[in-house]
Amino acid sequence: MPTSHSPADTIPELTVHPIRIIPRLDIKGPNLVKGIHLEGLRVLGKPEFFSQHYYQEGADELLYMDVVASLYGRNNLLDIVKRTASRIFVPLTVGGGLRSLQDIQDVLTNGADKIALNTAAVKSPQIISHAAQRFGSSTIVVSIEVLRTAAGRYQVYTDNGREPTDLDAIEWARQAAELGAGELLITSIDQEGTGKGFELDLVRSIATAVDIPVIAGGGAGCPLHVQHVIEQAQVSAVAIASMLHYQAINSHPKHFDLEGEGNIHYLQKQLIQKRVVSCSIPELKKSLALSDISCRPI
Amino acid sequence: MSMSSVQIGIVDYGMGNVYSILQACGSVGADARLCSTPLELKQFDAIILPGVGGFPYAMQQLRAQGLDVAIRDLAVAGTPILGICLGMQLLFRESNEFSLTEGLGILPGDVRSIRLDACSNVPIRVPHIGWSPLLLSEPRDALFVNLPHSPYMYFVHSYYVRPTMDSIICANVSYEQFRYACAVRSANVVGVQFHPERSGPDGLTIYSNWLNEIKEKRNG
Amino acid sequence: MAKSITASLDKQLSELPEEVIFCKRCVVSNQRPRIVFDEEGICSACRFTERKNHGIDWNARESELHALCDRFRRDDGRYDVIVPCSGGKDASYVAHRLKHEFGMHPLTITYAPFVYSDIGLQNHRNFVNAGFTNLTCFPNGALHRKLARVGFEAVGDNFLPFIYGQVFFAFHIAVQFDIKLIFYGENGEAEYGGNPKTADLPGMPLDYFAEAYFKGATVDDCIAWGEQHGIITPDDYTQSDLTFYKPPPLELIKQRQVEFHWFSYYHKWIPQENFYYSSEHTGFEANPAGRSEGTYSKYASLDDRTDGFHFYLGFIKFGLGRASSDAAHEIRDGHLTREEGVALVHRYDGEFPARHFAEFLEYINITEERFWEVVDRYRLPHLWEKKNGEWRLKKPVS
Repeated sequence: MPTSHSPADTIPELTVHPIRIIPRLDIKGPNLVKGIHLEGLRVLGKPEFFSQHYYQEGADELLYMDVVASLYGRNNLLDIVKRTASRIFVPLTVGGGLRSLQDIQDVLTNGADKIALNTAAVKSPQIISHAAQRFGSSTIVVSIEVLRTAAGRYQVYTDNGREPTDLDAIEWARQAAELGAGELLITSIDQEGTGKGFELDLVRSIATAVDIPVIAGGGAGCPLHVQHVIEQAQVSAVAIASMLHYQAINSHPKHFDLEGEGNIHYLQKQLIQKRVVSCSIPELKKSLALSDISCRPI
Repeated sequence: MSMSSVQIGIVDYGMGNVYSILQACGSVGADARLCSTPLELKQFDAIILPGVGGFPYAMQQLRAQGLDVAIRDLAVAGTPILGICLGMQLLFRESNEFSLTEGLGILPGDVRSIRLDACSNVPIRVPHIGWSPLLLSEPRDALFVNLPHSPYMYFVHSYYVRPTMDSIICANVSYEQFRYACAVRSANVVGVQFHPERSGPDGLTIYSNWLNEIKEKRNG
Repeated sequence: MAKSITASLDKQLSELPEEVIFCKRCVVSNQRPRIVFDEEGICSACRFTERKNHGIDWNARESELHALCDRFRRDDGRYDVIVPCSGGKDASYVAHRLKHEFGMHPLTITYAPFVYSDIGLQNHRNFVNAGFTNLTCFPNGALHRKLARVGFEAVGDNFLPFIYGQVFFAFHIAVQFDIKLIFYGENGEAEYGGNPKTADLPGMPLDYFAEAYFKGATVDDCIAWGEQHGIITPDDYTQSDLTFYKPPPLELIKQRQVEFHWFSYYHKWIPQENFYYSSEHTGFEANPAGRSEGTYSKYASLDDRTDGFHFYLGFIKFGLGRASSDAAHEIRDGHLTREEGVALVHRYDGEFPARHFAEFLEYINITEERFWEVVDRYRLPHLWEKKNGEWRLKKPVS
């Protein structure tokens, strides 16, 4: 194996790969929305504002999810993706309503770097392998939405947490990895939007069952939650919404005009939310650094 | 030479994040366009070979459009060429992704699987996805001027290049203690495994450095 | 004098317009009982929403609420308001705000669902644990299921006995404990489209109440119907079992000056914000089983395993199922576009509540065959047609 003919040995090599902090932007129509348990989608603003804000703050990637695309059988994120990709220069993963290789191609052509599959992959798992062959494994994220059943099983859901399936989350994660997924995004519907912390056992079970990177999602309510899932669940990245979104709104209270569709009641009234400790990306990374968790420096 | 902006051709063979690359070129002041025929390719000051996907399919696409020969010709003629990610891997002799496939053979070396070669005690997660600091070779290559000591770049790949000549390596990277080359140069041909167009302001600096190099060459 | 309990439904069904017209703004049709469409083709609920958004001075309404609470508040250790509450998002929100913002001393009451769902019970527990005293009435189970069957067979709604209990139990407790104010969540007639005459009223005046609940069919009529049809025998009940299916004497309610108010009169009613509020303050959780059958929503009407059949029968009788009513409301709130609402109705409306079918049949003690006989009896020819052996709505929303 070649080595560098340079004094690179003087550069300390990272023994741990830096953890990625990924703001998750759920999108409905033209708006960024946020629910609880993936339900009750409150409008928080325009995704373009938030993506720009997070890019400047040092986000390691961005995640766009059209959370109602499968519900309506549509896919209308292309314009938003295109506008975003022209202004931000970090990777963008796009999911929601992608049903065919052509859908995937369209999103990638418009500036997405990776795509996330959930409903379509559950319906016909072969789309994972076809997409991996066509676009490369590392482009294909399989998004798994999971609910803990009364019996303690982890059950897979589709359509943004609305439709139960017979799949066991750990089994499905393994299968998705074998079919060629490059990465898994795990969202706990129980925890999502509650700010009560990640579903550690679920995320850890999946992360130890596969040898591809795993992104933990659903439940982050304070920096300590993020620290715990990194330390205890072997994840490569963390997807965060409420904590960052409410902070972004607080720092730019007049960031968009209160017109158009969706539940804008929250923004109009500037209601106080108490479920999460809002936090910026630099604050979060700083707090993780204190616990010796490696992140890309900002 | 004229003061007109640098014309960059982005090879469009249906694979790769060409939109992001177009935006990055635009943001540093280059005039970049997609091109999909050998004839068009020859009209540019410089060429970017992008690529996301599988090596065999990519070579098949290049050959089908007659672009493989055209790119080799431009490399010999001294046209600046930048290969990004799979586009960098394609510049080498061969790859064992899926099945052994011949590459463009412009650079010496081959492309191998990270998973198979990283004989680590702990299981290594592949693809390598995320931000890693570059271990820059000295003296610094022109691509990496005006950057911090170990700039962080965004990687997303499962295969890596294994140049047969150390002298072409201008940066290495270490992923979970597995170290390999991630930037190479042989005269006018450069390749990077990471995505500078997705690596924030530092990534854009690399575009800007490359652009300056092209300008100097054109004006010199 | 016993009335036929079918009289009011018969009248309702006979009055349905032959031509189905959908509201131009939402997805409700003119088949919804009591709804009014204007000459522009807009339903009364959408018109009410315009006023909710632009015509009503909500600050003034809030002052009215303060005045109302000042009038009823007691600081002598007694309860001062009854909030009927199953633990759902809406009433939890009302009870919590009355207690914490308006300094009231609510006694919350629950008239138990037929078959509590796990999430319903959990939410009820979460609500109580958030700091509320609650009285729950479980009616005589043997009789209750027979009455549910009477409701299902006679008027195509198993909820009939529940509706009696849910309203009257509150009045019994009010009279019993001398609590003069009962606070309900929303005025359904205004919010969902119905009789517009109460839309501007803070609560239901006693004479309307008397008209609606004393002159219509009663539980005695249900019993009579059940006995005629061999469902109920005199051994199944005593008069005491019927207490909460009936209101206390009207004179007593009048004498005690009990008032019945809607929170939706005082504060703009947005169910989704109630969801957020109750999630934050009373531990409310959305349905862990995903969306409810027949709709896309995960947070509305979760507590009863039989409620899918109540909604399903509504779909059969009026062509308007659970997704229609959820989507109509969210369109009015501006949370959905009409196009989205139409797509949701096409996808989910009328989906059969299969998950609890066996349990439902067992609960009301009928065979599957009988179930479909009853269902098909409620398909009106102007709404339904059979094509290739399958029932279809003649005119779905578009």
